[in-house]
Order: sequence, then C-alpha cells, then structure tokens
Amino acid sequence: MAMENKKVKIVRHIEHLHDGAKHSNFEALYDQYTDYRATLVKYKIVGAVCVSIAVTAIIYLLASDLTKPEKIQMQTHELMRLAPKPLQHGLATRLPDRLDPNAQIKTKQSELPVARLMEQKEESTGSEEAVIPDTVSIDTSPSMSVFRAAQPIAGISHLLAYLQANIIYPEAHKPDSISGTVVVGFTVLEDSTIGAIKVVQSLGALFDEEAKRVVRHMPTWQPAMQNQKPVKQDFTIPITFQLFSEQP
Amino acid sequence: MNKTETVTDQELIERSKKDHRAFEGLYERYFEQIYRFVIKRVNEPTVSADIAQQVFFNALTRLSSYREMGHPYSSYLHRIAINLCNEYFRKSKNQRFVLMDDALAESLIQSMGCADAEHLQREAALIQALEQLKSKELMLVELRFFEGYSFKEIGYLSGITENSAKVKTYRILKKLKRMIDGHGK
Repeated sequence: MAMENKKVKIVRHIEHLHDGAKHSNFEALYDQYTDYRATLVKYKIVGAVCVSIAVTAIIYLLASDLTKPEKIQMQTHELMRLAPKPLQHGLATRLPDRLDPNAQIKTKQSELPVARLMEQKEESTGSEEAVIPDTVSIDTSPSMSVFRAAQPIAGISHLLAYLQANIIYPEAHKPDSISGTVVVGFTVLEDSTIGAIKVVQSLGALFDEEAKRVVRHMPTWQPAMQNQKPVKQDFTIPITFQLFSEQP
Repeated sequence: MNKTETVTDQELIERSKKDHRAFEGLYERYFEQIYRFVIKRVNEPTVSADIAQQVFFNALTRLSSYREMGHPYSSYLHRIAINLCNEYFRKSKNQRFVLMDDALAESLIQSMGCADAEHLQREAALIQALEQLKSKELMLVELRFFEGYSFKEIGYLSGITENSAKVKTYRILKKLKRMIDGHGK
C-alpha cells in the first residue's frame, strides 16, 4: 500500500474505539503483577535494588604510540559488539583522524613496531583466518594500532547480573527510600586487578561505600590489550539504587 | 464496584499501596479512558489493549514511588500511556494514527484564523499539512485541539512546562497556517 510509507495518517473513524471494557481484565494484570513480585523476591531484588544499564569505558592507548592518551567513550552495547566472544583475538581499532598532527612524529616510531607486529602476526597466526581481515588493513594507515578493550572474563551480562544480585540497599536509608545513581569509576590494571576505585557521582556516604564494595569484589576482568601488550583501561559504571515497595 | 465510586483517587492510591488488590478500583475507573487514548493513536485493538494493560502494570509497580504533584492520577496514567505509545512507534516503526472529524478540523482551522478558502480544499490541505508535522508537534496539536487538554496538562503529559507547551503549540499553528496558505497558491 502506498500509504504505508507515511509515518502519520489522519483518519476520520477508528474501529473498536469503545471496546475498552472488552479488553479490561484486572485479574490478568494482578496475576502478571504477582509473578513480577515473585521474580523480584526470588532474585532478592525487593527492597534493595541495583539496576545497572551501561558501562562506560575510557580507553587509554599506550603512550608509546601516541603523544597523549586518547579517551574514547564506549557504552555497554558497543563493548559487547567489540568483544562478542570473550577471550578472542584482538580487533583493529582505528585512531581518530584528528590526532594526526601530533601523531605524525610518532608515526615514524610507531609505524615500524606495528607493521612488524602485523607481519609477525600474519606469520604466526596464518591459520586463524577470522581475525586477519580486520588486522591486515592496519598496514595502510600508520596511525593505527591493535587494541582490544578490557572485558569481564565471564562477559558483561554476567557482570551486570552480579551487580544486580549483590548490591544491598543501605539499611539506614530505607525509611527515606532515596533513589538515585552512584557512578563509580575504576581502572582495570595490566595484571587484571581492579585499581583506583573512586566515586564519580555521589549519592551519600553509605551508598558510595556500598557501590565501591561491589565494584571491589566484582568478577575478574581481562585487561585491555594493545599490540598484544596489556594496558590499563578506565571504566565507569552507574549503579542505580532504588527501593521497591516492601515485600507483599 | 459501587463502593469505590465515591472514593477519591488519592484514597484509592493510599489503599492500593497497602493492598495491591485495591488497585482494581483505579483500574476499573480509568481503563476505558486509557484504552481509547491509546487506540486513537495506534488504531489496532489488540495492541492498544496490550499497551493499556502495560500502562496499569507500570503504574502498579511504581505505585510506591508515586507522589501527588498537583496533577490528577489520570494524567499520570496518560503520561505513561504517551510514553509507551512513543516507545511502541519507535520500536515497531508503525504508522501513527490521528483521529480527526469534521468538527475538529473546522475548529482547528478556525483557531488558525483562516476563513476564506474553499472548504473542502482547505481541509485536504490541512490533512496534508498535519501529516508533514513532526511527531512531537503533531502530539501537541492532537492533545490541544482534538482532545481538548489544558496547557497545564499538556505540559505535564509531554514533560515540558506549561508555558513552553503554549508557545510551541501556537508556533505550530502558525507553521500549519503557512503550510496551508502555501498549498493554496
């Protein structure tokens, strides 16, 4: 139909406009709600909740390839796309063009190691075809390097599930039922430990402590790799505290 | 449901916070209204029923954090409905529908202050102009002229201030008028 392309259609008559009562079914709604509550209780979400949506990563590329660390913001879904399968080979990351003026001097230094590295890689991993098309293109542009973002070994969804399950709403604040977000920044160091945990956006001392606690004990990360060398990488995680109504 | 007829929304909300079954009173009171609000935009009975049901589900799960902010509870429900409709359109890329009859078209044309052109031609031009509006603009026209909301309510429903709702609406009227006049020539 030709009209299908239009986003909006003005009509003079709408069928079933008065059929609302036919569809109304409070019992179904109540059942759905009861199920929902049961799920909350099952996963201990009632009363103490974290809903964490996005992990933002700040990537520091090795200073040996650049004059200054470049910050690239990534959201969770991009991280997931970059690293669809944990513990796989690196992906080629193109550096932004605007770095070129600075990078030109560097280019000559970095060109060789990168190119050499690539040759080595082609030789040594010649049989592993999947990654090579990505990395071969590196030869054409000197200001490129191989970078793979750090990632939780068990995957980002596992990390989010861990946060969901382990965050405890501070008991002392329950009467106030404060809801809000603590943004916690941390660094995944070269040896895969978590360092420099700091609160970027605070929601009060108790919330901050709790957020830092779960981040400190979170599942192990695999460090970011650049040119097959581990590098540190900064991340931020927003942790949302929200108090659902008391248990039914 | 007779006993809830005389109870105010606020009392029902307070009661529902303690006993979720009491939410049925609010549900019965507003389901039809929300359903019509949704089906006018979606024009699809089963989808509308789902969205309307979802509105009440969302309202029920967020009941504990609901606070009276000088707007009736029905506005709160409509606000959820608008957001869910927008989400539906965004996800499904389906067509938006706007219900408009002759009387509404006439009143809109009068609000724009053009009275001279040929009746039928004018209305065709109006429909064409409306279809060209952005979805947010169309929503304001719809709420204000077809559904008769006050600017205060429109502001609340679309998450802007009363004043900017007013300013935006009249700006859109001017734009519509320009489009129709341009079409006539």
